[in-house]
Amino acid sequence: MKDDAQLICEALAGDSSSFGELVTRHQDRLYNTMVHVVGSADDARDVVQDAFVQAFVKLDTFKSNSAFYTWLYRIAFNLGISHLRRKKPTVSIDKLQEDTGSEPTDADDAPSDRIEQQERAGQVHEALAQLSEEHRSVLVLREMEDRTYEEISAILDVPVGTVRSRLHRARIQLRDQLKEVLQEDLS
Amino acid sequence: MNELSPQERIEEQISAYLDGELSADEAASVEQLLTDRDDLRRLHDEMLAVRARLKALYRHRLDADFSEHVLRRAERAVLSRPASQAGPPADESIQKTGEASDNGAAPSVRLPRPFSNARSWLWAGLAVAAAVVLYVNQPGEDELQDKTAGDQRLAARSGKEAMPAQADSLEPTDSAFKAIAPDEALTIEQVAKPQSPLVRKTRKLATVKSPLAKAGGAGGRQADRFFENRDSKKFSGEKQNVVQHDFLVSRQVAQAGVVERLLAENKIVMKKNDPGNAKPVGSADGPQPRSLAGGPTKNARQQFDVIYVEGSPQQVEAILSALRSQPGVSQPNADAAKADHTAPLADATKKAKLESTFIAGRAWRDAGEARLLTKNYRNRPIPEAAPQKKADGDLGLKKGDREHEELAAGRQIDRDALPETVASKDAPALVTIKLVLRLVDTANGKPPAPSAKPSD
Repeated sequence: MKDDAQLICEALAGDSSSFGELVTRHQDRLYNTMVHVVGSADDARDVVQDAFVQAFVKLDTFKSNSAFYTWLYRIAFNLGISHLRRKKPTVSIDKLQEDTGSEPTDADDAPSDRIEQQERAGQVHEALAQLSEEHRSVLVLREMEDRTYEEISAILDVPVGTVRSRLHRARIQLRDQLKEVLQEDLS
Repeated sequence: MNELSPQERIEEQISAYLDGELSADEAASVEQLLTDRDDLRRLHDEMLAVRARLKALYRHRLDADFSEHVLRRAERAVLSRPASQAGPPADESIQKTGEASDNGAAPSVRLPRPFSNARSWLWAGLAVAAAVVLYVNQPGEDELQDKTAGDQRLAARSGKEAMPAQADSLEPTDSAFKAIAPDEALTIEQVAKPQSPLVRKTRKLATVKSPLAKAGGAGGRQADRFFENRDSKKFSGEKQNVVQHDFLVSRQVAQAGVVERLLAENKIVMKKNDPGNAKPVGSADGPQPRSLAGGPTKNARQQFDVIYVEGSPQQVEAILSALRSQPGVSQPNADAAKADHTAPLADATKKAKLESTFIAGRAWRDAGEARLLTKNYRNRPIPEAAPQKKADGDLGLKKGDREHEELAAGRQIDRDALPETVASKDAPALVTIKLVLRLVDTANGKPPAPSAKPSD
């Protein structure tokens, strides 16, 4: 399988299908991250699409001293945060569930279990949305994307120490907001 | 920066311990603390539970054809950029990355940019114009008919005479096309009847919707989404994968305008209907066929053009066959050459498109209720201003969709006003292919021998 650098070279040489392969490779992870960053599946789709388009247009300015996904994520995060600042959303459980889409549940579960699962997922969504964007971003990248501190530092353009402290604060805040849910988990 | 208290410092270490980001000594120290102190162990467990909750959230995925949409938008974005913008990035998001600036410190990959050739802009512009024309030729006409029929039905209920479709209400302009190739633009009148609804509708698209006229911003995104919808769904009747065909074209053939002539002969029919404007391409006093290559280049691989061609499977095959048999043109990818362009039509022509027409109260409609119902449907081409400007609109819902049923059950909607109609016979039987034409410096259009192959 070709690596990102090879695909970038081919795309720059005029083979747009190589860029399409890059898109396919990174789209779902980036999208999933941005859904939680911007709080809306539709908005996230727009942001991810804009990010890929900008990456394509500016591909010749990409320098190979960092990973492509880092560069791409930085573009997407900047677009996402700009989007959030323009939009200034109000948050409610209903709206979040509506915007991020229903949480799929196991069809074999009893209806009451499914409702409960959806409610809990809604609470987690709401708690995430209550975090500041900088705390939410590090948490999503770490817990959902399994990015290392170094990678998060590169994507968000902040020192590793800042990543570490933001993650700690984000976890504490999320724990405080999800106390009831977590008590059930720990009991 | 605030100093951390000893307790906060320990908690932060526990957080980093969970992530495996501590040194061996630090990790051992944290493990000892977790053994000794119940409160820290509890915190550790809570953080793990938070992690589990986050990981349990549904992972969102994009549609399988998302990359195709991105590529189309990206290619249009490149087309809409003036050549003068080929320098440093102007976008905030790129500048913030710090990687786009020319600091000269780090080694960079500087390879040729797509569409760097001025002639390519003309070619791509021609392709976009042709694509718009071809699209409008099918669903656009249908929409005008549908709208007229809808107006008549509405008028029948209100006792007034139906207004004709409003395609004429927009001022015609070809500025969008000039934006593609400022000095060599082909106007829409050069590729279609200037006074036909087809042309008026195309002008409307070019001036109001086209991303070529709006390089960025929300309007541009909306326009792009509009085109995506048309491209992937309505444009071709049904969603389908676009097969890409790569051709190598010798410089001699390209400069003679052979490819353009083949396309014109097979697909893009240029008619002389406007004395002040259009002439048949190739006529003595009309616009001459443009060549693929503008002049000598250092690297033949840097020159390429992308063209979307839409037509019946027979037309598409005719173009491809003509290109393949043309001396000086070769198609190295044998797999693409075997592509069956009729396959996407097998299902497309069978599917019936049910149209349900509802009479909705103006207040209900203006309150955005219909938009709300379609919220979970992505890429619905419902312009923001639609409730104020249009008497009716196609929400693109299918019978059986939850939103459709809700509409049918709506108190302010008269569901029995009109019967449902089947419009399957109107589905355009069109397929789209993508032609990528690359210039080579060989007389036969074959790739150069390995030893002579230009390097990146």
